[in-house]
Amino acid sequence: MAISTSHRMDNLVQSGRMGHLGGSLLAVAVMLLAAAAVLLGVDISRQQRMFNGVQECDQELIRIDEVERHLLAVELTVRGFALTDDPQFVAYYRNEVGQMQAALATLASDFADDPAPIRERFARLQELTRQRLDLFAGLMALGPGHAAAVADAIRDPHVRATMRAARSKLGELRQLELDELGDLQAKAERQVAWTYLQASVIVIGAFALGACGMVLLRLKQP
Amino acid sequence: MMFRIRGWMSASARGRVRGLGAPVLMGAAVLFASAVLLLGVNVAAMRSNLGWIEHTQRTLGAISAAEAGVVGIELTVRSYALTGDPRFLLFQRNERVKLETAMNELAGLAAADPQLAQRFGRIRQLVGGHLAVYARLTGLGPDRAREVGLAINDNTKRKVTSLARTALADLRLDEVQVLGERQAALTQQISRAFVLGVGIIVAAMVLGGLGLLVTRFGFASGH
Repeated sequence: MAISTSHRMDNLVQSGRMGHLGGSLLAVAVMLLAAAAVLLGVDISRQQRMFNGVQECDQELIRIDEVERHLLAVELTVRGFALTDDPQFVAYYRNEVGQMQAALATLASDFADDPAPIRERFARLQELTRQRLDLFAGLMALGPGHAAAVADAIRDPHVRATMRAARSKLGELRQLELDELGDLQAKAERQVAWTYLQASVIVIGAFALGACGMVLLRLKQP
Repeated sequence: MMFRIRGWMSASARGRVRGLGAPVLMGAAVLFASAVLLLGVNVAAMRSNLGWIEHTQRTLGAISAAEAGVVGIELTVRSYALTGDPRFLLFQRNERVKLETAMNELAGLAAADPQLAQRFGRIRQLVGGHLAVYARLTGLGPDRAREVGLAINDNTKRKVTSLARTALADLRLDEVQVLGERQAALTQQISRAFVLGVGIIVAAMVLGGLGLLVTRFGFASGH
């Protein structure tokens, strides 16, 4: 059995078919390497896109927090003014309103390319924020010595509902962004592992094929 | 081409070139294995960086929650002082729980980063001082708008409360910067992984081709 196999191998080598096979294997190895380069390029550009998405989500989350901070600070200054009648609070209030509007404007441009559900929620948030700011502007316009009027407004269920609605909409937007971020990050991490595995398998496969091709070419030698 | 080289080279030179085939192929294999290893190290660094980016994102989330908690407590104290409505005491307790949760999360995250841990210790003290000021004001009871108003304008108390807020805001700004730096590093790593991957493939092709050429040349000259 062993003798007949060795005989058949000798015949194959003599006929030059082994050398032919070796050349073909080397060609396949080269093609595999070229395919690996293309695949790696595609995967890495996909990773880059995914990572850009992660960066956008991060920026949007930072801005959502910024809007919330200024929203709370506006409320704080209105109460501070009502409690102290200190005109400094009017300056703080204006500053906070200005910064909040700037943060909202930046967020609007950030969300411009986002899916419709996020844009709709953001449009609603803008409306609720406007209502809330109008309310505070009205209270600040009362001027000093109106602590009782501010206290009444704070207790008013309608006013409270308006104040809560803006914050809860911000919370919804934040959750949506966090979900998207988690999803993108999990995908990016899987993509990194997959790219490495893919590149390694293709390159090792090409190398093994190349080595086989080399061995077969050597067999061609009498 | 092969025949031209064969005609041009002496028999001993041909022998030396023939002998080069195997070492060149071996060199290609070694280079190739180290390059794959290097790519693996780069990918591992990318994954570790992704982990740190996630850590910074969570830290930023916890800082924002702590900032909202600090301001939320101030809001409820001012509201209670203005209205005397006991519901604000309940809201204040809720805000305290939220703040504690955020601070505990921040403590857990800071434990993984010694620099952040050291800074967080100081912030925890400042937030504690802030809470103490507002707990005293709440303890005054309802209808104490005048006392709370005076406390808000009191420079010492104002310094204590603003210190906690400023420390949290500074930490947030620094973490935003760290996030940017880590993201830039990851972008560089992605490009490096691509260059490395393509480099490995090209080097493997060039060296393999060279080894093949030399081996074939050796075989051809042996005929």
